[in-house]
Amino acid sequence: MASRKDVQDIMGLPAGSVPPVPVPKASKMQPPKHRKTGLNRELEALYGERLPPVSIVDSKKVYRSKLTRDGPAVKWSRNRFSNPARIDGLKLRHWRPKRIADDDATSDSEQDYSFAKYNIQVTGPQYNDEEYTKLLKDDDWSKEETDYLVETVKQYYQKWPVIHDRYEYIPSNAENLPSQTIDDTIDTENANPSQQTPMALAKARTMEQLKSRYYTVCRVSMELQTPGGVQNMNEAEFQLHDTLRSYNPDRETRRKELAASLLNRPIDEIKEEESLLVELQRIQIAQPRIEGEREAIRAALEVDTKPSAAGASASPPSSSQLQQLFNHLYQNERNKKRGGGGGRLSLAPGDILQSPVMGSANGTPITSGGRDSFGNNQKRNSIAANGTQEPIRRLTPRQEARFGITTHERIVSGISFRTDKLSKMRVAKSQTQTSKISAVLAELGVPDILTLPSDKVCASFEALIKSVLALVEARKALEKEKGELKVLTQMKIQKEGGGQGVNGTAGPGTDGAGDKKADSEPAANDELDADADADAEGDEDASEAVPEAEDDDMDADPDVEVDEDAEDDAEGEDEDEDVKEEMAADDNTEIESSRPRSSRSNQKRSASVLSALSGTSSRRQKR
Amino acid sequence: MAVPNQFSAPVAEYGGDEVSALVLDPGYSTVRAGFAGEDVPKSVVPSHYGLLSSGEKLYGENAVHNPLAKMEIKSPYTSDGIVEDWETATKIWEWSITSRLTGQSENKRNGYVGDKNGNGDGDVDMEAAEAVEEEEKPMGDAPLLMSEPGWAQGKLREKSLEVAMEEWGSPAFYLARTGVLSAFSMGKSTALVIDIGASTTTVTPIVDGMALRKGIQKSPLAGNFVSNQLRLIFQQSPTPVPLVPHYMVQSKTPVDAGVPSAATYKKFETPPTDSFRHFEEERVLTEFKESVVQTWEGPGPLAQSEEHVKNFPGRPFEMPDGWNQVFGVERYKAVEGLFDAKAAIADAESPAPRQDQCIVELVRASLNAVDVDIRANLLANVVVVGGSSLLVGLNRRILNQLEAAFPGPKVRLSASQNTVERKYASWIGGSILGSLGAFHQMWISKREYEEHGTSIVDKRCK
Ligand SMILES: Nc1ncnc2c1ncn2[C@@H]1O[C@H](COP(=O)(O)OP(=O)(O)O)[C@@H](O)[C@H]1O
Repeated sequence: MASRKDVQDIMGLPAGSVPPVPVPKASKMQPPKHRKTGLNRELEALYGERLPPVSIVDSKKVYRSKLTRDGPAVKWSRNRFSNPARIDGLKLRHWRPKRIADDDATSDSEQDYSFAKYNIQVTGPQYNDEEYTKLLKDDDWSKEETDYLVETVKQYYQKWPVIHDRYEYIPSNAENLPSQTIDDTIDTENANPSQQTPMALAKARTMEQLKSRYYTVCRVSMELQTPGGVQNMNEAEFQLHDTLRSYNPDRETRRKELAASLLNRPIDEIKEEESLLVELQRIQIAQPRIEGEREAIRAALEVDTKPSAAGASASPPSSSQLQQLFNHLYQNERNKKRGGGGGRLSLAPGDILQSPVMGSANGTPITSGGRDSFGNNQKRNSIAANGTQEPIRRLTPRQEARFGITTHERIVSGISFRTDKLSKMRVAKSQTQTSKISAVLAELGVPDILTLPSDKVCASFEALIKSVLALVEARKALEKEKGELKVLTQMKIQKEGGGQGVNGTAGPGTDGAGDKKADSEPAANDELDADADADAEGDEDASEAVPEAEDDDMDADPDVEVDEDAEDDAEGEDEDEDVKEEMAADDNTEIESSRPRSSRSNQKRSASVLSALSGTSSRRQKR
Repeated sequence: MAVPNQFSAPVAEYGGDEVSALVLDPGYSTVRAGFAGEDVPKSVVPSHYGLLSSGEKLYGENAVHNPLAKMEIKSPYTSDGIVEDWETATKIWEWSITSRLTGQSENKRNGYVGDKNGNGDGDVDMEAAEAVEEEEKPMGDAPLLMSEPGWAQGKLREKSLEVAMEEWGSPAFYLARTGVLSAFSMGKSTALVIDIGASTTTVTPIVDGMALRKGIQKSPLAGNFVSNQLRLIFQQSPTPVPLVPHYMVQSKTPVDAGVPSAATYKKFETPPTDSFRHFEEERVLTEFKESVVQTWEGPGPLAQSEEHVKNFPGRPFEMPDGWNQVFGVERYKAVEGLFDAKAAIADAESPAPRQDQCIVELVRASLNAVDVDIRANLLANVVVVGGSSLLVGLNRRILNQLEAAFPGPKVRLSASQNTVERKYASWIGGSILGSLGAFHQMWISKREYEEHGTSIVDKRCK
């Protein structure tokens, strides 16, 4: 049974992140629906998706249980009340439980109207004429307009979108200039015929202009109000003052332009941004894991090399020491694997080869320290090598692999692509052969185009193709054998007497005959398992052993292959592209990455591949 | 066991305080009236009235649908929804309240009876009626909250105040914009309200319970427009669809689809007027809109997907006289004009609309007129109300088109699933507002009116 750790491993999830347990949704999302019954339900069904022109009230309403109360019913009376929030003494009437004390139903029984507390007035900045001329004079703003602004802001509760919407200042002529005050809500201002005047007359102001002016006025007024000026303000006041001071209308305008263009972005840009965000998120999620692993490696290096470096710093570390270090790392890695640590940088036993070589070639001790990766380390080493003036640079096999350097006995002139090579491999001599190969590859989950056809990937692909070819050959042979067997069995039956249901043709040996013979196969063929197939075909005849053996052979072949893969998998699966480049320990990843993990399931899988194959072939035969 | 005590009692304060305010929400097709605090208007009265040749005006559902000879059906509104005939409009509104809600004062009722019968008693009663004090004016008892279209300006608003104070004797009055009220009915104080009524479609941006005047957009593409489209479709179809209103049919017998009807028609000595017929036809059309018409869900125009839509199942409709047919792609075409001016069906009398009158363009214009910072918020709070928003599929289409037009910000559309709430959204909002305790300081009282005159309405009702 695959544990969660295995699954995490396969998915490449970090060990810590426990996927949130899916909450059983059904109960939460759908509150138990009230089921309509009888006529109502049928009525509703008639409407289909349309809303009914009248709402249907459920006739089977469940009423609340009756209220039981001892004592006499409370009397209610319709009282007049006045609202302290009003200054005009309007008396409205509402129903209130009658108190025993007052019998006069129409008296003002409530002085403290509970909603009066919501009557909150906005306070605005204050200044007088003298202060205005001294501190607030502005070429762009007349005093009259400033007054109007302050009043409007107050009137619309400092809601700037509304203020800007309603701001319609019409400069009054000299004669009907109202001596405006800002103390009353209903002032003389509305005496001027603002409604009839076309809006065009009004001076257009942007919201930034309005805000800027208002904040200036507020700031100055604050300074005036606080005795001693800015220094004597308390924290809150000072902060407010500062905010007011730092208002920058130009910046606001630019910000709004930006906001507008953001709002009107075309759909392509939005899509692009979305995909970038997803990418970013992916990187961010992977980041801590990669960091953590690198950290672990560094720590391991430090622990192992410190003593030796300290003890015999002059002498190069012996290969046994390096061997030890490697073993330690390797062990670590394995442990992590066991522990479900989802290791990404991985070491293969083959890696050990390079370490001593590296050490001896450069003749420098591996210095411990905070390096990011082996790559860095090696650069350092090569620099050190330069320092010792070694004329010829020799590369370790590992380095060679890293830099993609290969040696060839015979080099073909011209350029060829690995992808070409790969695709050529897929093609066999005959059309049917080719399609069979690709079917097998598809079954194994090998993509049509390999994402990273590195040397090693190519090599293992070649190996894979080879075994696929073998598989295909074996299958062909099996089919042939089966056909022959059938013919022979038939002949035997015929010979023995009761020749019923004999198919006339008997041309053993050819594929075509085999196919034809298959027509007479019993319906038991429905079972698509390879073994079942074989069973269904074979009588108690001794010659049955032959195909069975074939069968086993076939089974075994891919299994071995697969098992190998699985082993390799265990070490280097799920590597990120970058890490893979660095370590490239195991290129099978590319090919096999979509394979299940354990070799047990691999076996099952291969069986299913086979059965599916024989399934298709038998289906074809039937046709 | 579950007795509420001081610990379990809800902490949130109940904000209601009902003062039996009246809420009046006049529209082009109907006038809605009722008491604040209730959840549906008790009184819904057609805005049309019957004008007899004698000059008498008849109000109410029963009167206007009665096929009397020589009765003209009229509306106090102009076709784009502005009150033209204030005198009659006032009467209709008053009627909507007094006929169902408050009743008339004793004297007045007698007066009416007197008038109707043409008795001599009337004089006496009239005198008595004149003698009554202000309190006995029809609505002297309760404050009145009235709605007005968002685009109403200056004089229109002042007129409403004047009528309420002078003619109805309301002790207190408030005028609220329909858009704001509709937003309240959906529990929102910031919203972009798309109100698709009978005569006009209005888009109102609302911030913190106040409509942004510069952002209000209005267009005549609404319910009546759709009805007109239907008329044109009926006329222009290969076999014209007979539009016979109910009152003309005596009895009908079932006929096959597309076959001329075999009904017997009523005989009138003097047939009702054309305006009456038109008005009655409108009822049939509304029925048709309710049950057959559908909106292509877009976001592209219908013309692009017409072939596809042709495969959609049709819907049958039977005219009052028994004529019936299954309507296919036609049923999508009537609404298309609301979204795609080019798709509107036009003839000599009804010119094609302009693209900038279509709903999405209205929204765009409205947003462009308001501050950038609130646009995204408004788009996330689009509220669709009005009788014609009940056209099937309309909301989907609006949403799809808005999303296509504004790909960046999140567009969220709220519309009540309840037909009544959708149709009477502005009334319901008024009902909520009028029963809030904190609202009662906003009323314009009679005294304030006397002190400051009609101009107070602009100060108070922002
Ligand atoms: N279910 C419905 N489907 C389509 N249209 C409808 C429906 N109900 C009402 N209407 C239309 O809605 C319009 C009335 O809407 P309403 O909001 O009451 O307008 P107004 O506020 O202008 O009076 C009428 O044109 C009517 O035909």
